Amino acid sequence: MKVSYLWLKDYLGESLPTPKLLEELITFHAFEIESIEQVGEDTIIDIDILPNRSSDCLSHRGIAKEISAIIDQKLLVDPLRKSLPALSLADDLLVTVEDPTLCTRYSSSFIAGVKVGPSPQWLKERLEVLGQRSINNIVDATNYVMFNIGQPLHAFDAQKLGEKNGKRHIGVRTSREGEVITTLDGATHNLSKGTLLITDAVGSNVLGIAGIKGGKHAEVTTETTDIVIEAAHFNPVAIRRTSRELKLRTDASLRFENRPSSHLTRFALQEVEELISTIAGGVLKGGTDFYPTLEEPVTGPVTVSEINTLLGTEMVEKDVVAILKRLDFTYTNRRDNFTITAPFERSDLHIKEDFIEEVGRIYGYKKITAQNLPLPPEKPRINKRFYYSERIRRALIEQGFSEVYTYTLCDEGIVELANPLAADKSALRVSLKNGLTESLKLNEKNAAFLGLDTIKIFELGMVFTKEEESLELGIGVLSFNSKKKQEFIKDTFDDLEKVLMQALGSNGVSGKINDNVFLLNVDDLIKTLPEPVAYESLFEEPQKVTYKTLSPYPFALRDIAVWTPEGTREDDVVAIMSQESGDLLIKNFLFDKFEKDGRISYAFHLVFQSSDRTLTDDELSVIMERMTNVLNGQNGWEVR
Amino acid sequence: MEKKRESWGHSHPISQAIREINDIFYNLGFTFVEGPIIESEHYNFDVLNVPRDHPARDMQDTFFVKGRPETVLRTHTSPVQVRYMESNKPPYRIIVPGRAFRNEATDASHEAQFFQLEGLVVDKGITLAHLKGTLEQFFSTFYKDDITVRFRPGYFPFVEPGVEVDMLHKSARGERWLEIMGAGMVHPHVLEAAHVNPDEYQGFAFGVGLERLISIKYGIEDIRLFHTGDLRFINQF
Repeated sequence: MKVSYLWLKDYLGESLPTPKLLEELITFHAFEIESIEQVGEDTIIDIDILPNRSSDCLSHRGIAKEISAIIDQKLLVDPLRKSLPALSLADDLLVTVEDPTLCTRYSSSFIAGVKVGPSPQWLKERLEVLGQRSINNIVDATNYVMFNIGQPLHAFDAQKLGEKNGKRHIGVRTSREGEVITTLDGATHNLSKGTLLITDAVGSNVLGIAGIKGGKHAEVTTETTDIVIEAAHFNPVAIRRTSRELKLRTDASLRFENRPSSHLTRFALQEVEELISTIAGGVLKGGTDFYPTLEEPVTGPVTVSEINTLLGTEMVEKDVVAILKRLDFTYTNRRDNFTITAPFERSDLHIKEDFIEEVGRIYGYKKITAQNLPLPPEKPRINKRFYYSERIRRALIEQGFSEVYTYTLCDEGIVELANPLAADKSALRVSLKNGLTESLKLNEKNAAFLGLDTIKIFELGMVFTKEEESLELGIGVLSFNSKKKQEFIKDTFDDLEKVLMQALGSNGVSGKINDNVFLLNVDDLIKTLPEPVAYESLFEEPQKVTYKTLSPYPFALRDIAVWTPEGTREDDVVAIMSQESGDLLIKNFLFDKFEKDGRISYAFHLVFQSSDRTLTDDELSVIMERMTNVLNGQNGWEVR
Repeated sequence: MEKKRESWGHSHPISQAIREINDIFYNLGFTFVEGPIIESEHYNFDVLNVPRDHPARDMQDTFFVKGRPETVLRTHTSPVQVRYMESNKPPYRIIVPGRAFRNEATDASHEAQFFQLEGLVVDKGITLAHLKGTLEQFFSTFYKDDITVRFRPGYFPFVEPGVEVDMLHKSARGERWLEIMGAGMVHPHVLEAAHVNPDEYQGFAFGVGLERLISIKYGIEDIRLFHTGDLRFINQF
């Protein structure tokens, strides 16, 4: 939610920390900050309010209250702590609520004789810095109050409401089959049966989709003189369902679906009445308040020891007392035993741990000292699947196979997704075959880069059939040299079966061969194997890796062979070649070496690649020529 | 420049990481546990204190399985928490490395399919301080460096309090705090769902993206490389 720094200043005055400091304080005691941006004279802080605090903190007052607790400064003003006057019932307004489980509270104010017009500059600015459009003084006043204290409001043109026995009438009911609404933005929505609506109880006009969006019928226009302001509290589940069904997410629905306190309604009306009176005139003719079940504040017992035992802190009674005061929670305590009551607007707090979190946040998680776990209560069990998978990995890697991970989501399978991201990721794989085949193809293209004449890969991954998911081993082989390709593959896999049998201590390893891929159900195989008693150390500590980003540009190949005097090492030749080609020579593979007449011949495949461009033939010719010259310049060296 | 090839193949960096992680946590008394990838909404959400029709469900974009009601691809490895607790007696110390899925567009730092590492400790008197200590031990061993972590308030429905965990990462470019995972104290509703008495037992849980852990270690910029089967990538490890 976007928060205006100047608006917060109304609440905290000069004790409001600078935006920079606020960022830090809010981050470490309350919420993540998405961004901070200067907008004109103001600074807009975008705060990520998650569902647990959307009930009270999607409001400037809520954020100011958080800051107040963090910096231990009382709010200068607090609209939620003002006293509410007794309700004066409006003579000419009637509200009927069909189902009090869906509409838990419906408060309203009837104001006559307002003058609808543009908002004053200060109000326009308040809304515009938040990215809101100013509509007119009445609508702006309702929005202002929502952004101020978190209660969505809606204004109706009272004269558009049907009249019965001299009373304007509002009804809250669920929709019947086939009802339609045109919302304020001009869009038409077909409403499915059971959608909660605000209606004109006399006529059949739909005035709004409850808690989501107002309708065109009773829109406040420049002709409007009498208005009804709605401040309601709806069932969050009903609002959420309708909002999702109609794909209508509004500032109102966002708040209602997170269950703000039902106590807010009359505080909001008090605020909006005062504001409208100042900026649009009019006379308050009273209001209504349907509120069958009073929402009780949440109270819970918590001990100092419970706080410390959950947080790992060492607070004492007076620490807790100080924090509860900062939070504006009321409490009673006998030494370490507290009974805490949250203020009504904190409808997010339910259980003991919620209260402990509040204490912990204000105390500061930074002050928690890291502590090691006590000695393990028992020896961990050995994961059989992982144990044998490790043996398989070790055996195959020793045979020159590298392990790949390929995509689980694919274009075809038995288990399909109801809501896939893309057609080629619409199902779960039934086998590793396709993934490995793709991987073989990809690596075939890069074989020269990799210096390989055979691609040898394997994967251990989950595959999905109708009833079960199981671990499969897939091995892929592709050779460019062998003339008898099929025979090569068969021989390779026959050998591997023996390798696996030995590695697993099993006498029955038989997979199936499908083109270039060997597949084996590992889970079935593991069932036949004994329970392991301890993990083994099969792999050496991995060497320190200096990872190099893959260049998106193509690589180029060149070969070179050179005669060198006796005693010359491979490294000596490589050093010169590297020096003459800068960063562009990224790999070299010695493919031939022989000695004759007191000389040694070295022959290399050279791989050139740039990280920022495609290398041209001309560029490479220059490098090769320079390299050749320098090699020839060594005493007794000769490029062949 | 790279040395010429050796005759041995290469272990995938995810497998290497799981191996190292299991070594570290085994020594701290954690059992390596797994669970199904095709999961019920019951285990993926309900028992984790993410009720139906609650806005918290929107925090994770979910793939649903066609033709099977209330069945999803697990959006995290957390369902295994309750599955394990249901069929074992406390205390618990488990890690769950495994695949999870989120229905979100793919880019260099997001994948619809990824690996997550879950950790769960439940016992008498386990605190947030133990979480901090355990994570510092883990990171320091995994990154072979002396690593500090810090907590910020966070929200995950299955923990209370919930924290965001940052670690102080040192590299050639200097020190900086990296947002690394979500964690917290196991929510009493989760323990109750698993028939563990929350008045007697409490504990912590954490969940971290494995590809992210590895990427930080090696400076990998594009997490998609983990799943393409590209030996130009894998053979570097």
